[in-house]
Amino acid sequence: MKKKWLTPVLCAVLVCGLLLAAGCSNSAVEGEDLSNQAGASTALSGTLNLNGSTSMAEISNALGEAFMAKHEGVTVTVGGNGSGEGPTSVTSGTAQIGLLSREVKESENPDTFDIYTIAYDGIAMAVNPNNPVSNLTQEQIGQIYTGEITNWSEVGGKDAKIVVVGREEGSGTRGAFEELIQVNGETVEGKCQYANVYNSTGAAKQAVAGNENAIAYISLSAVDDTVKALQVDNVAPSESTVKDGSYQVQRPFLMITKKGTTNELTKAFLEFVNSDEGQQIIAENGAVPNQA
Amino acid sequence: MNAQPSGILRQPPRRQTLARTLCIIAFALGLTVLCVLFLPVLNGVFNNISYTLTGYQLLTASLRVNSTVLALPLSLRLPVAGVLLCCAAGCALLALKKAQAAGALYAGGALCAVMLLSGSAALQQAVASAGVDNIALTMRAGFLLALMLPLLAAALSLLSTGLQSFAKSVFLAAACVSIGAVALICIYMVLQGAPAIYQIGPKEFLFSTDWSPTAEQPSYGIAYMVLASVFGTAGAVLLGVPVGLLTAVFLAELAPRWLCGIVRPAVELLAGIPSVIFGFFGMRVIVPGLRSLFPDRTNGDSLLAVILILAMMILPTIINVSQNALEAVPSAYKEASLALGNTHIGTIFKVQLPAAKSGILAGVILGVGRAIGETMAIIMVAGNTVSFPRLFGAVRPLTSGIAFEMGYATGLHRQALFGIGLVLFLFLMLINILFTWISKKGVGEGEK
Repeated sequence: MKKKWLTPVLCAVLVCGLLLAAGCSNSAVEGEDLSNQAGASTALSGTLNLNGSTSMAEISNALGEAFMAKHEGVTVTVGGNGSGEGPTSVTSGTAQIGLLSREVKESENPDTFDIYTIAYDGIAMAVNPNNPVSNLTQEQIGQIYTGEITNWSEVGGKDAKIVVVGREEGSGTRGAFEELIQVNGETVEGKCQYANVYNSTGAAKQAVAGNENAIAYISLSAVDDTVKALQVDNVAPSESTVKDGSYQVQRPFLMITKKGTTNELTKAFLEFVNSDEGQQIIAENGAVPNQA
Repeated sequence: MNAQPSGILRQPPRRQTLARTLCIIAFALGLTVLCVLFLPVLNGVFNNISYTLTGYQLLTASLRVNSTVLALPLSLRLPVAGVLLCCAAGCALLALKKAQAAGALYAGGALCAVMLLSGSAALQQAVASAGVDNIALTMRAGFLLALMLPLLAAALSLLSTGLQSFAKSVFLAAACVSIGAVALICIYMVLQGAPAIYQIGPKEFLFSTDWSPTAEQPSYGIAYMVLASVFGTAGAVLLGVPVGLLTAVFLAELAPRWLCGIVRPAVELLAGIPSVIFGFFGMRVIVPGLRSLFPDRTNGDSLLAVILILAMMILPTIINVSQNALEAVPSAYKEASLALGNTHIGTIFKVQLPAAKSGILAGVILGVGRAIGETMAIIMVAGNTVSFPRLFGAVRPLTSGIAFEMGYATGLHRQALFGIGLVLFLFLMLINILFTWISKKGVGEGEK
């Protein structure tokens, strides 16, 4: 009879002993330094994640492809649903480089990041190619977006209601646009009234391409034959007018990383972006390179 | 054959020795799990410095990283303790000849080993916030041992109770996995969403119409989104149920066989189309179509587009289930009605449809469930501005409200999105309860 209880008691004693031992010791584990080991490879490898602005998607994809062609074993992935995702994904570690098409806001803790301006991009006011209007002043644009001007006839177009299209709240294009455009000396931030909102440059462009009375703000690098880019204050948007500043509706393209990051892959990629080859790729994709 | 009596002593002698052997092996395996204390479980390379942790170190030690001493997260320590305790208890129970309970405890130990994985994710976050860039975590031999041995011990101790009991335990385990998945989702939603609703105030959250989470003074009011979801679903049901029901009647009763052979596969194809294709179709066909039909009243992206798309998506569900319900009505009803002089159409509407009521209702509820939960197709055609839902105006239903902002929401905004998810959950539960109540009422009337 006593034998039956022997094993459970032994187990109980074992467990209690464990718990006691756990409570008593508290050592800190030191690690083993691998960086001095012989045979550590110098070739770059691994995955680099870029996340954030959709306006920068084309440029980032092009840069990523060129970088991957130079370094086998490296995979560059580009994703994101707006500049708002850039800081959050870098902070949480899901991306090594964040992409923003506007300045980092105060609320996003800019001191925790290293911020690199890689290009300047114009924000094009896109309308349908069949829209007769070809020029607007900044004031008029602001009044359209705050709802003071509601009909195309007020700015020289057809008699039709203006369909105001915009981006989601985390969008860099939206953030930059609302901070730049002013009505009566005040920015239109927080005052815009949108008829339709989309969560990518592509979707906003399609909305304009399909609607004769729509107007939307999209990245200049995204403008193609399906939409018409308006002149702002009689200045046509192009790489040269963005570069010399005459086209005022422009914003920087930023790549941000964690402050003081030592990630080899990240540093190599940023070096590549700032090199001649990288700057040329940026120019080919419609933005104005920073170093040029 | 009746259920075998469980328990080792009540089995025939040869089986008894086999069962005993299995128990002894399970006991030994359970004790071997204690070796996890001395084997490497986790290996992390932080900034080129490699740390290897044994089970004992996971329980007791801390890490020195970047000249800071980092305590290991509790979600890493508790699973290790859990594995050891469960296995020790399992061994004890085996010694007391309670093989089934021991099997359950061993399975619990294996579950704790799985939870170690979430602990390693927490460790990665803790190390990342300590300022380390290059993090590579791998699980070592100790982890595999902690996972496999308890599973094996559980299987063996359950087998020792006889094949019938073992089979029952396997079914029980499968059921637990399903319940566990649902419970996990519910608990996570409540844990994330409820604090947000409490902080914002339930009244303001549910009834305020101002949704501006990124403004200077953020406001989280989802009333317009709730209305948009309700109107969209109601519209889809109003449009889809009559069409679906009449199609089901047609397929079940009136269509010639060759036509059935065409329509039925077409309906099933419609059921299989991914929702993003519906959204694409809506964006390219329905929205421009609405724009050209009503140029003064809408830009196309509107509640009407949402209703049309949702109606198309719930049609196959309603048709299929209603058709099955109609075909399940006993032919005696139909024959009796016809014999009493009723017309075919009269029989369908006065006898067969009422008899198939609960099945049809089930189809409608399934359709409503799909309509309320549809996200991707709706984002593409709804216009996505938070405003009072007008038929020709842009709307933002609850589901697209979550999907639209999830990517960049932080802090209270992110938790408010979970709160929206909670509201969706409650909607679905309400609908299910309503359905159960209606169908019970229906059954009661049918039995009179």
